Amino acid sequence: MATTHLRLLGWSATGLRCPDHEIQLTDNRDRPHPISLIQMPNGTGKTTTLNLLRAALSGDAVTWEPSQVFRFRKKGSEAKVGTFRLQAAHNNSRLTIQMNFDFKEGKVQYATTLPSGQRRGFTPPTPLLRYLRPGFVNFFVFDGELAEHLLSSQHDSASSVIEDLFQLKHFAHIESRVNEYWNNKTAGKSATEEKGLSRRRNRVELLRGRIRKLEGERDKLKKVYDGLVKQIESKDRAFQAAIEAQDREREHLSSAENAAKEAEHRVDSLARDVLATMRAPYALSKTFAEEILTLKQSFDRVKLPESAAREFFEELAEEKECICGEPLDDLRRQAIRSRARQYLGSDEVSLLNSIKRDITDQIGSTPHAHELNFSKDISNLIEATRTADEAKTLLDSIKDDIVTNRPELRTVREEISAMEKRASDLRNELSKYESPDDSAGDELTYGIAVLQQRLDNAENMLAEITKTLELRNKRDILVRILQKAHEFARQHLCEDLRTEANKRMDSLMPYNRIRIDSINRSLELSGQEGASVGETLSVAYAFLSTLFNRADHVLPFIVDSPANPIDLAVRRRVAELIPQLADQFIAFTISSERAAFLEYLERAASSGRIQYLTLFRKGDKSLEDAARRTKQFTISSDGVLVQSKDFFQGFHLDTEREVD
Amino acid sequence: MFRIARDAKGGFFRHIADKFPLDFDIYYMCLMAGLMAQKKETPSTSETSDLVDYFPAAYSTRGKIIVALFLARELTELGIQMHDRRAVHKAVNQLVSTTSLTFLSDQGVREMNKYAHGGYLLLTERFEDKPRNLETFLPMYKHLLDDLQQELQ
Repeated sequence: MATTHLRLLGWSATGLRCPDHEIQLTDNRDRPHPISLIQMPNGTGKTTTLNLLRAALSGDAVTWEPSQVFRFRKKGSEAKVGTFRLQAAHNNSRLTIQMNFDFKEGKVQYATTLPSGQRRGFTPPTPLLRYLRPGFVNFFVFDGELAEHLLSSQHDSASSVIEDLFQLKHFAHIESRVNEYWNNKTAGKSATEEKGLSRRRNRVELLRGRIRKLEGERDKLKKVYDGLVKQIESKDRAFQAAIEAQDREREHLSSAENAAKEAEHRVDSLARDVLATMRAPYALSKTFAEEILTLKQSFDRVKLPESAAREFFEELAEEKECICGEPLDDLRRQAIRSRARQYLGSDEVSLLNSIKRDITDQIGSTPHAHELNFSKDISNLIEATRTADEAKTLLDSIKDDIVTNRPELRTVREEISAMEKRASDLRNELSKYESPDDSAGDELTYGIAVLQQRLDNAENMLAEITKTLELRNKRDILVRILQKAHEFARQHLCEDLRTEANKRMDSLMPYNRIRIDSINRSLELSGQEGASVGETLSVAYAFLSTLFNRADHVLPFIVDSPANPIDLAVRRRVAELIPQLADQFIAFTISSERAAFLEYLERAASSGRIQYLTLFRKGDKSLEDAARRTKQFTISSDGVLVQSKDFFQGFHLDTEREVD
Repeated sequence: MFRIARDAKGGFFRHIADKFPLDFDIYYMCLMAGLMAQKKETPSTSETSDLVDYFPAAYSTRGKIIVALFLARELTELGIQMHDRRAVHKAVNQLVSTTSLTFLSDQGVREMNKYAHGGYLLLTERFEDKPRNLETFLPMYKHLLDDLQQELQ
């Protein structure tokens, strides 16, 4: 697959909230600078410009409400229109995206210019569409909020960007197409009874919807429950640790805990033994033992089974004469065959004899002894249960005493009790999703496995009626393969990315042990729950730079205040990392970021690679004069743009401006 | 096929179902209660579900004993006197099967399932609450069987 290469060449803004300006990001040979630093003091419209860039690169502005559009109008102006024009290069072709603001109607219209000409609307080349959309553009027009999202389990930014960049969503698309194909196949077939087909299809849909709903409910509850269990464990550990701090209390408690545990084990063991014994009816009740024995004795008395089986008489009826020697005629043969039916067959004889043998062997001559022994086992179980209850009561009492003597533990104990009660309630709630009860209708059935079984049956019935069972099996196999392939690809990608990103962090923060432990929905850090703002940004840079330098695409990296919240020691490392982060790096900075950043950036980048731009609002005469002296400036109706390294480094705006 | 009340595992026995190594344990408990009380109930197909068609695991050596108990009770239920050899013979012929893993004919299994269902309903009536743990349920179950035996005398 060919590499997709996108570079920004520059942009211009007129009639908008930021000063009118035109920025060229290219050198005198029309090549983009690898690094462009755009210094805009607070109040110059940095946020506005970044939002315009995002909108231009995603086509999102067509969805804006009029109130959002009006926010881009120049303050105090009655202008009816405004324009933002972005110039870029896609591989070696020019691309221009223009946003025309209509402040009367509160709308934005796009126009896209390609080598083939201009078209209305947001219509970049197809290979770029994967990147140039609202969900993705924030990954390369980047600010601190994204860095937080990457590390927040409430967002799935990390998994989302990987899925997008490496096109893992194709697996889900293919799976969806496979299901669609199967659905079309079942829709297209004519059923033996149209009504039957429609009914079966409706049932399948109903069951799918119900399962999805219940799974969602269950997962939500489970998340709460798991979180609660973790909290209980954590509080319990803290409680135990507090108790164990006192040696005397610890010994007493430990001894009581061991006794309670032992008593519980004994109860479990005895209960299992009782259950095993109960499986013999003669042990359950001496009445049963007597009746079974009586049955055997009764059979013996009436000679059941007989010593002669039915087959003997049936074979006798075939003979010429009886065993007594009398000749057999048809009448006698008829009588023998008729009366033979009163006898059991040899198999039945064998079975009855086997039953009688088991009775003798198992019940023996002392039928009452079994129940007596069983009753003793029951008594032992009752006694053991009582002992276990007492041990538990004693343990609780010791804990209560500890709490009484140390009031600071009482609150913890009460909290743990309340949480355990809540956890128990949640467990009960969750158990309904495991219920095997299959007696109710679909809407009143909560057991997900039961519903899944019904869905399998319903799909089978649907497939049967449309004779696509074989196709369904193939679909299932294919879907399983796709899901496994997706997971395999995702896991390996995440592991590779994690390793590479951690290597970058080794150089970025060698004295900080923060590292990426795993990549799931978000980046999960090892060894700590959260990170400082600086650490968060560093982790995000390491991760994103790993991403953007790997895949078959080259994208610009546009960052708002790359080093602002980071402490000086880390700023240096971020500065050294920047030349490697992306093919084209554009940073919006303020003057206070220069410290411990600029010099290291210049050292890390080769000479001539950095472009220095400063944009500020007109109004400060001394600054405007200083700009004129550089001879590398442009002045618009309300803004001044200076392209000079010296001016950039010496620029400082003390005056407080209204921040936009 | 032995059939068990659908509600049994997820309903009455819900809190202790996982303590029984076999689902057949639950069927057996209901069956013994039904046989002791001589209570038969015919369930509809929707009220019960298939279990197994053999005596599983620990019950494999007890299967014939269970069949013997069932025969003893069923012959009494049918009013058959043990000295009436012909009647006993006929009943046994109808209820047992040499080719089935349950040792019972289809009719025999049907009648046994009726005892099991009757026993299940009895348990749900006589226990105030669903049992919460095995160690308290087992003695109470034994106590119930003793009570049922007394009531029949």
